[in-house]
Amino acid sequence: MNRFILGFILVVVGTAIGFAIAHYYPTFPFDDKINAVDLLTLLVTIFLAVYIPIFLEKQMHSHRFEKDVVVRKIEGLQSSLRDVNRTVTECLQKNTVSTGNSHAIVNSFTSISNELDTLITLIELCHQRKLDMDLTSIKNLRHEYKRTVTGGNFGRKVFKYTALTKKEEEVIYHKLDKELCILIFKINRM
Amino acid sequence: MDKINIKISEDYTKIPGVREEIEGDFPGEEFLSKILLPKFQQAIAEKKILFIDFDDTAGYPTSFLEAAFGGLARHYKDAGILLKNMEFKSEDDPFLISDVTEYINEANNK
Repeated sequence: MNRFILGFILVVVGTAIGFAIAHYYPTFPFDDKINAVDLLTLLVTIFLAVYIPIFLEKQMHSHRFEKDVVVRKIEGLQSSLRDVNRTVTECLQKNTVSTGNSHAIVNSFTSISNELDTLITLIELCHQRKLDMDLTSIKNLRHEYKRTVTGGNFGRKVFKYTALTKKEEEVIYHKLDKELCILIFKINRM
Repeated sequence: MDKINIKISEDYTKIPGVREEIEGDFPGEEFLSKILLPKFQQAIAEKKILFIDFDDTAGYPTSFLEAAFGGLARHYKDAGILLKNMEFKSEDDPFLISDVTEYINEANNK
C-alpha cells in the first residue's frame, strides 16, 4: 500500500515540477496535442518499469527459492541412499553384517521414508501433480530397494550379502539415484 | 466398529528382528504366532478391527514384516480378509503401511 502512495506522490511531484518549469522557465515548448503512439509507448514503458522489478522479479525469486529447497531435499535423500549403499558394500567386503550394521541400515530406511515423504509434500505444494509419475516410480524403487537390502534372511546372526544380492542392490540404487537426478533437472526446468 | 489394539513396541518388542525363530531375537514368525494371529482370530470372531500401531520401535526390516504380515496372509490364503479387518498406524515411517499392504497382497502370489 505504501508503495502505491509513494508512486502517487512521485507522480504528483513530477507533474508539479513539470508545470513549474513550464511556468517559470518557458525554455521548453509544450505541445497541446498528444500523439497516441507516444502515449502508448509511455504507458508500456511505465508498465514494464513497474511490473518487472516489483512483480516478475519477486515471483522469479520466490520460485527459485522453492526449487532450491526441493533440490536440497533431493540431495539429502541421495545422500541417505548412498549411506545404505556404502554400508552394504562394507558388509560384503567384511563378509558379515554386524548388529550395528543391521540397525544402521534399518534406521536409514526410516530416514529415507521420511525424507521422501517430505519431498513429495513439497513437490505437490509447488508443482501440483505434474511430477506424479516420477514420484510413483521413486516410491516403487524405494520399496524394491528396501526389500532387496533388508529382505531374505536379513538380521540373522550369520547373515551375509551374496555377490548376487549386492549386484541387485547396486542396480536398484543406481536406478533410484538416476531418477532423483532426473527429478532435479525437471524441477529446474519448470 | 470396535477395535483390538496391538502396539508392537509395547506388546512385543522395540527392536523387531529377523524372519524365523531360529535366526535370532524377536522374529516375525514368533510375532505372528504369539500375537498377530491370535489377536486377528479374536478380531474376526468378535467382528472387530485389529488396529496395529507400528510406532516407537527401532524400525522394521522387510524380513520381519514379510514373515509376520505375509505369513498371516498365507495362513488365510486371502489378502482381502486381512486388509478388510485391519488398520495400521505408522507416524515414524510414512511408507511402512504401504510396504506392509504390499507384503500382504504379494504373499499368496509367490
